[in-house]
Amino acid sequence: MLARLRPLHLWIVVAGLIGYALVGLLLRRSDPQFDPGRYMNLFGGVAVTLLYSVGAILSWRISRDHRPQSAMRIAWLLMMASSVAAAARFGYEAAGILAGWNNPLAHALLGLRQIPIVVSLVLLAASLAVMWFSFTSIGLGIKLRAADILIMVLIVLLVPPTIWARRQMADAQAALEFVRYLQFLSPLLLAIPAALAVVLYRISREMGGGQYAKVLRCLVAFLLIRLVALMVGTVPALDWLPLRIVMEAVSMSVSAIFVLALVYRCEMRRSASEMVLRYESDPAAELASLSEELKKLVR
Amino acid sequence: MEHGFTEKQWLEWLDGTLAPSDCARLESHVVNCARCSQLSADLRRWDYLVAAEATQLSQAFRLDESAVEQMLEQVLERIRDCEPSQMRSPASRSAVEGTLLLRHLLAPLCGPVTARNAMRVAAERSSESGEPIVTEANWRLFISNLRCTMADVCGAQMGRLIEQVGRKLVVPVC
Repeated sequence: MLARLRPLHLWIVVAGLIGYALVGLLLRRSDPQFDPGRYMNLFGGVAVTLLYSVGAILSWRISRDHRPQSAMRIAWLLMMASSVAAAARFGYEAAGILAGWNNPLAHALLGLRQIPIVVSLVLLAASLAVMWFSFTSIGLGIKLRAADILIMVLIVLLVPPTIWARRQMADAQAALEFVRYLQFLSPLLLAIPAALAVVLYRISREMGGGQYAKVLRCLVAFLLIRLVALMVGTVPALDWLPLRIVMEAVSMSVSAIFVLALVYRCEMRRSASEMVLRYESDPAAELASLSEELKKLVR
Repeated sequence: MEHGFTEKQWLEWLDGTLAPSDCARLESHVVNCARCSQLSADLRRWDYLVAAEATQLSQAFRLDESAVEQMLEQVLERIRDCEPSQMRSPASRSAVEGTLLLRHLLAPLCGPVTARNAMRVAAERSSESGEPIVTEANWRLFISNLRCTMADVCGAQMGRLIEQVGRKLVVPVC
């Protein structure tokens, strides 16, 4: 069934999640007693759990497209493990909300979600670093531009104010002390993959186009948008309910963009397989048409 | 041939590719022959001037790699058109044409620069000197190395595609 997944399906999911958030805004406007947090987290939690589960399966399939022990295979396996941890986090959260846990101070166990959050972020950062290492073997991502370094510095600079404003975060008042420390790590652990996203963006530009560049750009969007969503959520001056709901919707939608990146990668594999079949069945005709295409391009 | 040396030998001496025994013979002759001494000095001077001019020109007219490839393709096309039809086989392609076609094939999937870089790495691994040189003689090894490089970065299906197409593109010389 997952083989039938196409980019359009993921765009529909993104639109659906944003639409769901807008409905939440309208409900809040008509009923001031309406709890938007529960509304967003319950359905959103289930949707995002499903998306990360799909992401884990696709990452595993992509890893099998690479040779054992190759850097890219390790990168995709780490990505799969990160997706599993993220799915566990959102699944646990959704189950907690169903059980009536809505306050981390009153429900200490809710704070345990910080464990899969940290595990997921560490694995994601490791996956991106290994991916970068793999691209350097063919000379991509070796030279960074001044603008890239500037953006990376800006991302790192966003960390201290976010840590300073961490009281706004969900588990800042958690009953378990170690959960508060883990929460403390989140901005830093989100910033590291976001900084690596800048490198991936540079690699996608260096590639000069193609389906692979699209995969990397979707990963970049996933990593940067969710960092921005977290930052906006922690700034006290931006603590405005409609904005919070929109940011919640954006945070959920980025998981669909992550899956979109994986779907594009699977499409690349499919395109290569189709080409192999074509060249197997009629190599002479295919090569002649390839030559003609190249000639037309040159003229 | 003059004084026992051919024009080819003079040019090889200038390029530093003349066989050591011939080189020693030529150099000992130059010391004793005023005419050949003048000729060797002139050749050295012209070689230097041509190299300096080439450097100046290449700096004045910078071309990106795609423009160079386009021109190369046009030149190959013209050469083909000039060949007598009985000598031309529609299936025969040079290694240069083969690499251009492979790059054109892979570009929509992994991007033209990814394809170019992977080809450069594979070519370096396939030549004895370590230079990125692909000829009909090392074509098979080049395809095998390119398949491994691309499979590592872009996936096994890309590697299979290279293997499938590469084997049919250029017939390697034995």
